[in-house]
Amino acid sequence: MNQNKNFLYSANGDDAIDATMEALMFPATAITGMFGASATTTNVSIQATTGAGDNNHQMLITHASLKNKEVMNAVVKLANSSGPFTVVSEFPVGGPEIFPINNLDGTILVTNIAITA
Amino acid sequence: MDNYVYFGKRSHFSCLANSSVQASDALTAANFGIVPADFTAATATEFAQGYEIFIQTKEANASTRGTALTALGDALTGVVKAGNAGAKATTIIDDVTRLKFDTVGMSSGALTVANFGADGTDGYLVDAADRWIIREKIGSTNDALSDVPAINQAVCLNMANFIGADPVDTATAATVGIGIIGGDANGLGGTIADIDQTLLSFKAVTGTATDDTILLTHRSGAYKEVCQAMEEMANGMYHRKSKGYYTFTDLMSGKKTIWEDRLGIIGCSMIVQAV
Repeated sequence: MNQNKNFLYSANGDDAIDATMEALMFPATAITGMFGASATTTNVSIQATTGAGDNNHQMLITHASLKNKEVMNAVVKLANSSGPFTVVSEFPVGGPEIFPINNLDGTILVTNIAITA
Repeated sequence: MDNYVYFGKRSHFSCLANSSVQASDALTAANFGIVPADFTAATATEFAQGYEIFIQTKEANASTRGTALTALGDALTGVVKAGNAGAKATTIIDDVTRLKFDTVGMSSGALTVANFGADGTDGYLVDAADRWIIREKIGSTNDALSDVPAINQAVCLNMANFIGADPVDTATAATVGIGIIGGDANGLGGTIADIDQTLLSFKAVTGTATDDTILLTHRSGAYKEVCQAMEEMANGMYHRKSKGYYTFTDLMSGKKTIWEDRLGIIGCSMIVQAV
């Protein structure tokens, strides 16, 4: 049955994806919340794909200074885009790392996304 | 698709002086969010400390208020009391005095002010009937409270994880629900009015069993309207319009969101479980 869900995809700064948490794909509705972790980083929490009741996955986004609110807004826009497969960041083999999230707000200047379990 | 809501913090606390008159009740994570660091009374600005402290007089007393405090004028009306030194040191009911850090220290969340007898310049002799108001300062440069983004300063939450809203007790002998309504960023031109508080609960962003909570301080009697606002955000159409999140509170910005205006929100603090 067609679920008509939007899925987000983010790769973690390595063109060869061959280890856990180097990339993650999750339904947009799995984002539980976000907060500024520092002036240049924002933390996005995602329901754990392991099904555990705690220790959600964390996506730490590095961006321009004091753009936390704008980054959170961009993430929400990505989550609520029509999808169905929305790339937040990726690192094509042999190519430069790209951050489509920057297309939503030219001021946020995302330069890295790190995913942790 | 889900709706998301943004809460920006501006902590607010009020209490009766009660028996420990020279000290406020303690600020805690539950009632203030991030508790300011301990501070030994010394010259400091409200901007550097990140919060401001008011005493509302509820019992007229002589030899109460230091000359430097009187010289500042009433915190809300700006009126500087006339008369000789004795008259200026005498308070009248509903005076609102802005305290200075020269004689105010903080220890484990409790503020203590030197009394007038110990310091006739910056001291204040608190009466048991008086009321304290402590709130974050707009324009604060205190990195730990608001100036540098960190957990518990602001949060964006998925409304699908909203659990419920509970009224908070603000009308016991130990608590008093009052706040400065209106006026400029310093409160000048505002009035003191009754307020209520509502605790919003969300499933923790980190996934732990303990919920994340948002403490809202708002106009008295607005609990039901807060609940209706939460329903509005949960079932609203932002997710279909590519508008990003709903900004529910952003009090430190000095601007007013439609909900702050509609619900008379003057305070917001939060406890977000650490990741």
